[in-house]
Amino acid sequence: MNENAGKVSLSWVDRFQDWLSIEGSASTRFLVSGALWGLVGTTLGLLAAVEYWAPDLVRGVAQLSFGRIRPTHINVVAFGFISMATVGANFFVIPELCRTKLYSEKTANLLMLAWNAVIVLGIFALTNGYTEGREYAELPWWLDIPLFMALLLYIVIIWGTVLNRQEKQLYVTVWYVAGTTLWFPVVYLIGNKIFFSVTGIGDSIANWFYGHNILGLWFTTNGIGLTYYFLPKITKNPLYSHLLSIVGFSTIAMFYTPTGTHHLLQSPVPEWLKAVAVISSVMLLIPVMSVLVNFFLTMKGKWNMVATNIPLRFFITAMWFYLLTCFTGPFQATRWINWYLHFTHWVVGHAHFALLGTFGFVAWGAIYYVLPRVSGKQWYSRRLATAHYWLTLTGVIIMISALTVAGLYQAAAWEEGQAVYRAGAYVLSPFMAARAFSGLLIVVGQILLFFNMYKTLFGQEGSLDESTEPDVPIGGKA
Amino acid sequence: MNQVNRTNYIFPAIGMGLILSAIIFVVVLIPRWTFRPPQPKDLRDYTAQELRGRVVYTREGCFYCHSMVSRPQDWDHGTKSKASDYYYDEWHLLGSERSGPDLSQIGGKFPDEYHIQHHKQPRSLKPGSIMPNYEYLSNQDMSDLTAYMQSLGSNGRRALNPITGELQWAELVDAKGPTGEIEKVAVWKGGVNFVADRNRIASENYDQHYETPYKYTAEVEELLLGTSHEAQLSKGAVQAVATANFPTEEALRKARMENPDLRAWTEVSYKEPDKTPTDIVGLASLQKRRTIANQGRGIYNQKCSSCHGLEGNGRGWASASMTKRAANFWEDKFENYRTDTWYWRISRGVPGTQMPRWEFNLSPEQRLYLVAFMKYVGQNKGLGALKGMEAPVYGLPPSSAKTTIPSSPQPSN
Repeated sequence: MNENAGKVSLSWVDRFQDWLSIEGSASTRFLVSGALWGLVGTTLGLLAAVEYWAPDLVRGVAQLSFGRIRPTHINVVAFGFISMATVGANFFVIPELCRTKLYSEKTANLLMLAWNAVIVLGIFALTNGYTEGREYAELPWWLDIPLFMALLLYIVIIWGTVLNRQEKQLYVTVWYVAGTTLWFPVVYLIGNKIFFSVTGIGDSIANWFYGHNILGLWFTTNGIGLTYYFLPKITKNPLYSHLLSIVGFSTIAMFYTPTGTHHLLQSPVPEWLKAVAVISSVMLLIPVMSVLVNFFLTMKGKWNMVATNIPLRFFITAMWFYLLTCFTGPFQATRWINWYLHFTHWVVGHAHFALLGTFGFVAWGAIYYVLPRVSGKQWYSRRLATAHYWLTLTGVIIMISALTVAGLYQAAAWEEGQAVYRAGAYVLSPFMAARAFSGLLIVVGQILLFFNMYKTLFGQEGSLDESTEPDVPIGGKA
Repeated sequence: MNQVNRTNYIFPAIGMGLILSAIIFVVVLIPRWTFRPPQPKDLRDYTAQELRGRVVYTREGCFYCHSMVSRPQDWDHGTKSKASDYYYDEWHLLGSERSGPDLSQIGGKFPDEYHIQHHKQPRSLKPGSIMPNYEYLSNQDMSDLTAYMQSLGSNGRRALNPITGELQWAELVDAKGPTGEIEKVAVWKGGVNFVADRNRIASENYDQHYETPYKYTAEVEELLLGTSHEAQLSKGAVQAVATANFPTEEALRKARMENPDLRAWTEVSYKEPDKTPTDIVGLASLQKRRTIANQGRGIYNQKCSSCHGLEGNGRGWASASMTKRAANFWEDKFENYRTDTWYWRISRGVPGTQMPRWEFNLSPEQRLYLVAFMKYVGQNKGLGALKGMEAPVYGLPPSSAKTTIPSSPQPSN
């Protein structure tokens, strides 16, 4: 930008091309978009939660009705917030690990624009009732195809970088991220009925294959891959075990892929498919245990850093949530537990455990770690970051507790033979109020993050100085 | 540190790719090729109006809170969902959460006006409900959505019409669609209705709807209604009740008073005679009544006795904690309850109390057997002669009738 400052007569095309090719800009812009969609998505979630508790809050506005806000919330948070933030972090981490530059900064920036356009149009489509009505695959076909194209572009960028690498050895993070780029488009194609279409109850099998694998082969592999990079990097400890990382990586695709049907255990789908889903859900403990043992032993002797280092604090919190998520997950996927808990708020709580508690925290940790390094600016305020952490953590804990206990209430009432309406009308109201309150805490946290980010990027001059950065120290080769 | 050669990554990568492809082949493609439920004979396709309603249902996100699958453990929802129920669905709406009740069996249970009012102002009908209000839906959308609601479940597109014998519970009549074209619109005659349910039991293909060993026979019919049904009721009388599609006790009573055919119903007394009859016909009739009532006792012991007590005096253990105590069937008023009153009360439950709507759980013939037992208890103020008889285990046919009542085969999933 500075070398262009003296020139006066640049056409807007040139200026746009310059804007696209600033080094590190794609990563920054992806992270900023992620934070923005995080704010929008959690606000939508808060609105849905309040409507859930006070259903007559909005009257007569179709776009703000609960049934339309809920899918918008999920899509913005999943495809906007977590996906964009982790992709932004990948654009920083993968070149670092390959000791090279990002394959094409320009393409990456175009990808950023396209992705943001899809999210904006997605909000418009879903609030106006253009939906396919299949969970996690609600976006209409005219947005499915651009998003799929974006995923193909993402393959080009990541693999271009990996193939241009100067470092011969590929670190675990690169396996995860590069593998994800190839797996996820396949899953996306199947789940969104782009060429693969089933009618009748078979549609639910395809839907939940996708619904669970967007978690298993996109959020998990990206989030775990990033944590593999950041934990050794921040603590300057070597990774505890190379073997465990191989075990974790090679089993995740094997055991995550068939689990989708555990969402349909009491539905009339083939029994053998249910058996496969339940068994592989329990077998998921293998990748989870190997990954977490590896992480927690890598932390050996450095646990005190969690108190001072903000990004590390986010990653470690995420991994504890991951531990809880992945121990309740296989347990509630078994037939008898699922018989009792299916359709209750317990499951909603579990989804927030995984997406908000685990991969949301990974995304925030990545934003805090990567943004100063790609933008060259020091974080504006450590206090705001700390406040963001505590508000979000409190919010997540209240939300998950409220939903879990509400789910147990529902399950017990249904088991006793109470009708859904009678069991749900008044008893659950306090829990839903607590859930809405926790949403408020999380939204305030997002506002703080966004304000902090704005001040960091636009509100101050000066470059990154290692001595003034106690919470995000650089160094420690992975 | 060893420098790892670049090519070393290729074989593991190919291996993982193969594993992933194999898994996708197994869990996505094989079900697609092998899992194809056959076209059900007793289920009709959606009408154009119902399909539009399904789009409204999807668009407004109803499926986020209402599931569309009746599971084996949902004992008060009615028939368990089968794979063939979804034969005509272009996309699935199974749902993943039950913030509201399951809707897979909602068809025919409420009149259209109820649905419309409930969609517009849910809390005017169900205080404390958290359903959003859908006042913003256009009249067209609202009637389409209601038509879709009425098309669901055993009382929806799957039910038989007892009067016309057609494979639908509703009449399809011509009406003007939103674009002005003439289309078929379903007009519903559902609701809890003793005569209509009885006719459905007698109709063909009935066993497909309920998995039960209880069989409604002419013998039961005679004991419940006094004599052969056809002899007592003209077709007009059947129509009179069948078209009162949301009958209240008052409406039924009024219909009985106005219609001489209905008034002519003679009800069998279940009162134990003071002296045991000596003639062989009287003795056989008494034994039959006792057997039928005792079979209803099997259902009663399982489903009702925890609140109403084993002897029907309202002293079940669960009654102790209730704000409104369970009814005591020894009270005088129950002596005069008629078959249809009992049937209606058992089917619809008692709003505002813990008494469930048994129409969701018990099949019509199970309810009719229960009616026999209720009449016996009400008229004898206790178990009477049944005390000495062994109560059958609920769900099994009585031992005396094993040869005449074949248990229906369990339908597979």
